[in-house]
Amino acid sequence: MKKILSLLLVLCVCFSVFANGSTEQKQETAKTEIKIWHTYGAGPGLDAVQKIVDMYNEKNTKNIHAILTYVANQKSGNTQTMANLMAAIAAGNPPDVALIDNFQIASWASQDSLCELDGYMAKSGLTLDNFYDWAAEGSEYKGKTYSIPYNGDSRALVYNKEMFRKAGLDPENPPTTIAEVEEANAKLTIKDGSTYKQVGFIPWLFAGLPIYTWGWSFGGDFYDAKNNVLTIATPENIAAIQWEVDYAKKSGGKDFVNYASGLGTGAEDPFVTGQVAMCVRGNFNLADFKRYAPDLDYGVTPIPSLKKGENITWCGGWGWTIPKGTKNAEAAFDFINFAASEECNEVMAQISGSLSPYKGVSEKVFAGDPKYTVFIDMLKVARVRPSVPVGQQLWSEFNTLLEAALIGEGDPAQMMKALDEKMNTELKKYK
Amino acid sequence: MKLNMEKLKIRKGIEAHNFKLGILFTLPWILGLVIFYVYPLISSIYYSFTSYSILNSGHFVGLQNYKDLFHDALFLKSVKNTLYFTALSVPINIILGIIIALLLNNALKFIGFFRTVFFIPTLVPVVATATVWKWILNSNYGLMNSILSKFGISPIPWLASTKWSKISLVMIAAWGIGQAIVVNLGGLQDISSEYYEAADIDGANVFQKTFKITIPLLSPVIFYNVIMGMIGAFQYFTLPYTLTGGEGTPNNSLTFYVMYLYNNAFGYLKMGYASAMAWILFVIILVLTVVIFKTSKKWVHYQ
Repeated sequence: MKKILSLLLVLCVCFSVFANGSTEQKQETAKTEIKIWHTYGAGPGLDAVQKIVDMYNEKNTKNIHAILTYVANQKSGNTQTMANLMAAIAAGNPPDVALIDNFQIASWASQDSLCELDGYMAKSGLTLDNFYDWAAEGSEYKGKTYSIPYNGDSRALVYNKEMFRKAGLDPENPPTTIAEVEEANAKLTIKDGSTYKQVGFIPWLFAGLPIYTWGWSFGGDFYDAKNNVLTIATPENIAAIQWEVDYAKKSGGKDFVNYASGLGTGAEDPFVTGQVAMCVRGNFNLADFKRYAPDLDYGVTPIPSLKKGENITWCGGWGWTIPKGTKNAEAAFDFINFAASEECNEVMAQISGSLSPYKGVSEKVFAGDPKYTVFIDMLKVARVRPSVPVGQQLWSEFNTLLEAALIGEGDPAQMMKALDEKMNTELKKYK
Repeated sequence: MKLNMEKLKIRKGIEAHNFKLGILFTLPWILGLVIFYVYPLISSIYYSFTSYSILNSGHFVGLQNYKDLFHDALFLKSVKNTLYFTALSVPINIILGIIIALLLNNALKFIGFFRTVFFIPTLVPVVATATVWKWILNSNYGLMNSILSKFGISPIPWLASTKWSKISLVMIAAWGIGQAIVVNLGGLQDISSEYYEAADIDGANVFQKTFKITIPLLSPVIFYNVIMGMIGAFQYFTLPYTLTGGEGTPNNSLTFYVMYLYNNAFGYLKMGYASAMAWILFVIILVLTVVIFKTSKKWVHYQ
């Protein structure tokens, strides 16, 4: 009797648990959950994506709930990869949305691991017309769209106005051409025995390191999209490197190069410490300048070009993608559609301090800060790195090539021609 | 006869039963070995013949990856860098390890403190080591150069020149030989003091004692350190990776074999290519280990 009673009691408890469980389940299946992966640690970057997700969860009418998850960004050589994302896609269990560096779109798309967005865009009416050309180009691979731009960055020449005044240069008339920057450098460089008290300009520092910066400034180009051929060894690109090599030689040869490579970052940033008067930097450095040297009197001007009036900049940025293998692609795109709106772009720019790839937004948000003006003005003529699957390797190879050329371990023209052959052979392997 | 047959049957039965029990108990370990060791190993060989990229299973390319490797200038450079580093670092670490172990083998009062001091560097995480050394070896305002300048030596571009970068790495690696020292100490204390007493009676001096007694009797430990040191040096990765952010600057002088492998596998999405590299490394290390083993008969004396 006791046994039967206790058995009945247990069965009752079990049923009640299941009964509750099933009603809960009924409430849950109505909402679609989408997982969004990003790589922002604590800080303005995280705050910006969180705000956008919160806005979406509040406002969307399709009963979709978005969940943000932080995933570590893994550096590998000169690339950054969301390593977990690679594993998740391979395992067939990816997030529904991933915020990745647009520079990687080509590699991942060529491996067939991102969903094409053109179909969804046509249905929802979203176009990339409202985004700058560089953002749209960076989101496409082989003519198809794989990401919607989220943020961006551009590069310009920052110069120390105080040091300009001391050297007798006009701080409101900074150099605009290569010749002018060389002139200014001569006046601004003060040697101190075998080392330097201050240097005017080191072309290959920070944002001047990528050959892209000077290749484009010299009127060159790197990619023929129509024929899918990398045009690395153009005369202008080679001239740009030759200029840097000659510059190094004139400024002190190996000693100068070694001095440059020993300069620091962060609080030891040579622009912040007054060791270097002019430097090509990104808008993402402005916050650091404010932090480490709030009283620094500096100005911003476009990157010097070879021919007057042909100044350029180039942009990078991150974008929303839908990895292959997700079961909620429609819901995922609904979120991305929302995030691509002008309103969300404003939120992103305001909170994170990044430039927005949406036309007109950066001007509005950063109207009060004169330091941003040049960075934003140049967005209209910005270039973007070629969207090819060998992009990361090319980036590393370029840096190696420049180093070798600067220390005299290779002839620029020869090395560029060899690299041109090598990378185009690599590129042909990707059908 | 009958009793013997029965005993045999029972024993066979018990043995078979014990054998089955044994397999059952070790099954977790066997499964772990097969799933996490053998399966990835065989997969890796297979992938080295394909254009696998993790995201995409790629297609079969036969020996193309291996052929491409031998035409890859950066690969050959990474092999050279690794060989140079190994050839420099292993002998230095062995010799230094023995010298320090001999010094630490004394029963002085605070010898425990000194032994700890030499062992502590191995406890520091490699990333922290790299960060601190990057600061010390900075060409412009590193500690090393400022000390040298007090002696009138002009600043050396430790991590900024292709000549000095690998030598700097050998230095940093030598800083972390604590483990080898401890192993050497163990080996030294294993040497019976009878030999030294006999040598003293015969009137041997310090050098003769070291080279005729200590080193030969320590040779099994040295042998162990040579093999482990060589295998470790060939797979050197974390330190150069952290020092250069994976870029091998300056001018790929610090691009080591495994670092290039890592960049190819996870940076350039060429996992098949990287797998081929891994197997070539395996063959190189295997050949060298066999060579060292064969020559060991001449200089390793087991007690």
